[in-house]
Amino acid sequence: MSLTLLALFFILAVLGVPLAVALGLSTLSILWWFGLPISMITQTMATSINSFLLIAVPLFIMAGLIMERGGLSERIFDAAEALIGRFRGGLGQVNIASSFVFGGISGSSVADIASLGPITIRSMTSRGYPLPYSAALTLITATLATLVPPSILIIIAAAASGQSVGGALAGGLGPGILLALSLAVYNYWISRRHGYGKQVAFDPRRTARALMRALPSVGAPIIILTGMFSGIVTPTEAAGLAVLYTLIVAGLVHREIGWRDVIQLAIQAGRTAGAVLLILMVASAATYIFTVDQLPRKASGLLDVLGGSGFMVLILMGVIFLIVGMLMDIVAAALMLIPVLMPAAVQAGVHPMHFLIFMSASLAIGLATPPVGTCLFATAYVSKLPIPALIRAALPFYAINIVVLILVAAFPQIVLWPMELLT
Amino acid sequence: MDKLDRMIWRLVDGAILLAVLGMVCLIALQVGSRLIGASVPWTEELSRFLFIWTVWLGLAATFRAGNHPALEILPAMTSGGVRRVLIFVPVIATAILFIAVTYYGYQLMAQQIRFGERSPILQVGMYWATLPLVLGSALSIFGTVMAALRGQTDHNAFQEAVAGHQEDKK
Repeated sequence: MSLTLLALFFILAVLGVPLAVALGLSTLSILWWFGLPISMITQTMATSINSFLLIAVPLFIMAGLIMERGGLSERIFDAAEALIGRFRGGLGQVNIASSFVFGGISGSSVADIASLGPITIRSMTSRGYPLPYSAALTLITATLATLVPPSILIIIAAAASGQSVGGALAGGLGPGILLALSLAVYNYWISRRHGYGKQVAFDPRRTARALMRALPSVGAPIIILTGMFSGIVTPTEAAGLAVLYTLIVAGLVHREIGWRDVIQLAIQAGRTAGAVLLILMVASAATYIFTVDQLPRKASGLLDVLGGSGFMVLILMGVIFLIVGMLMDIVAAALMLIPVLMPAAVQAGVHPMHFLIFMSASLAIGLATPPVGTCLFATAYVSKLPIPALIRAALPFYAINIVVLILVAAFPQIVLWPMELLT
Repeated sequence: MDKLDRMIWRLVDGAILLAVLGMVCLIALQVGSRLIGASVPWTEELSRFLFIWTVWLGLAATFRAGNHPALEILPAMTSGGVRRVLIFVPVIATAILFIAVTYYGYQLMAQQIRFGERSPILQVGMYWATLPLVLGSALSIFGTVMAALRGQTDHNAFQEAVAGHQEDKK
C-alpha cells in the first residue's frame, strides 16, 4: 500500500504535477482503492494546520521579505565588510557571516541569495575573487539559513513530528556554527594559497559608520533569539515580533519601505506559506496511510536486519536524505521521511532531535545541488554563471558539507548540547 | 471571464492581506497583554482561524500563479504535441484532488453546522475554520484551470499597482 503510494507519487511528479498535488492524489487513490474512508484526506488536512505553532511559518517568511526589501540585509553585509572585509579572504568570511546573521531571522535560503547574493558576488569579484568561487561560496552559505534558527524547515519538521519547536530550532544552531566555521577555515586557506582578495587599508571612520548603520538590523536576530530561548516568548510570538521589529526598522529607521510594500509583502508571505503548508497537509494524509500500513515498523525491521549502531543508522539514512533532497522539495522530503524513518532511528538509539536536525542538514544540501536545487538556480541567475561551471566550483563546498554531516552524525552533542543549554 | 478572474484574485489577495496583518496584530496583543499581566484569552484561537484562512487562500492563489514546486524536467525536455498534452496532466490531477477535498470539506462543514459545533473560547461556529478549506480548494481548481487557459500570473494585483505607482513617480 505504501509502496504503491510512493510509486504513484513518483510517476505523477515526473509528469510535472506539483509535488503537493502528486502526493495528495496518490493518497486519495490509495484510500479509494483499498476501501479506506476517503473523508480521511480532508480531516487530516484540516487538523494538521490547526496549530498555533505553525503560525510562525508565514510570519518568519514575512520578516525575511521585509529584511530583504527594507535594506536590513544590505546593512548587515556592509557592517561585516567594514569589520573583516579588508583581510585576505576577508570578503569570503563576510559572505559566510552575513548569511549566518541573515539566516538568523529569515529562515529561508532562497531569500538569502535573492537579497544578499548580488551584493556579495559583486563585492567579491571587484576585490579579485574569481567569479565561480564567489558564486559557489554564496550558494553554499545560503544553505546555512536552513539550519540557523528560525529555520522554516526545522519549524515544520518539529511541528509535524510532535517535537518541541523551540528545542529543535536551538538544535540547528550547533551544526550551523560548525558548517560556518568549516567554510571559514577552507576559505581562509584557499584565499591565502591563491591570493584571493585585495587587502585594503583600515578606515576606522567608515567602519564605525557602517556598524552604526547596521546596529538596528543586527539587533533583530539578537532580540528574536534571546526572546525565544529565554522563554519569554514562544517561537510563534517571536515570529510576530520579528515582523513588527523589521517593519519598524525598515519603515521608520531606514525609510526604505512604504505601505504599498507592506501590503505586497504580506500577500507574498501568505501565498508562500500556503504553498509550503499544502505540502504539510497532504503529507499528513499520506502519513495516515503509512501508519495504517505499518511502514515505520517495516523500516525499523529492515534496519534491524542490517544491524548497527545509531551512527551507522544515521549514515545509512544520510545517504537516503542526500538522494531524496537532491530530487525533491526539501519540505516535502522531510515530511515524507519523518514518519517512515524517525521511529526506526529512535529505536536504534538515536535522539529524536538529533535525527531531525541531521535530516534537515542533509536535505539542505539538496538546495544547492542539481537537478532541482532552488538555490543553485537562484545563484546561477544572480551571478549569470552557467550552471555546470557553478557546480564545478561548488564541488569542494559539497565535500565540506558532507564532512560536517558525518561529524554531526557521529557527535550527537553538536545538536544536543546547545539545545540543552538554550532551552 | 478575464474580469471575473481578476476580481476573484483581487478579493483573495485582499483577504490574505487582512489575515496576515491580523495575525501580526493579535500576536503583538498576546505578548503585550501577557507582559503587563492581563493576558487576553482569545488571541491564540482567533490567530489560528486567521492562519487557516491565510493558508487555504494563499495556496489557491499560488495555483493561479503557477508557483507550486514541481519537477519540470520532463515537460521541459519535450516539445510539440507531447508537451501540449503534458501541460494538462497537472491541471487534471489538481482538479481531481481538489474536487474530492471540496466535496468532503463541504460535508464536514455541513455536519459542523448541523451539530452546532462551537470553538472553545470564542464560541463561534467551527464551520468558520472549515469554510476556508472548502473555498480554498474550490478556488484551487479555478486557479489551476485559469492558469492553464490564460497563462500564469507570477505577480499579484498589488504588485501591479506598485509597479504602476513607481512608473508614475518617474
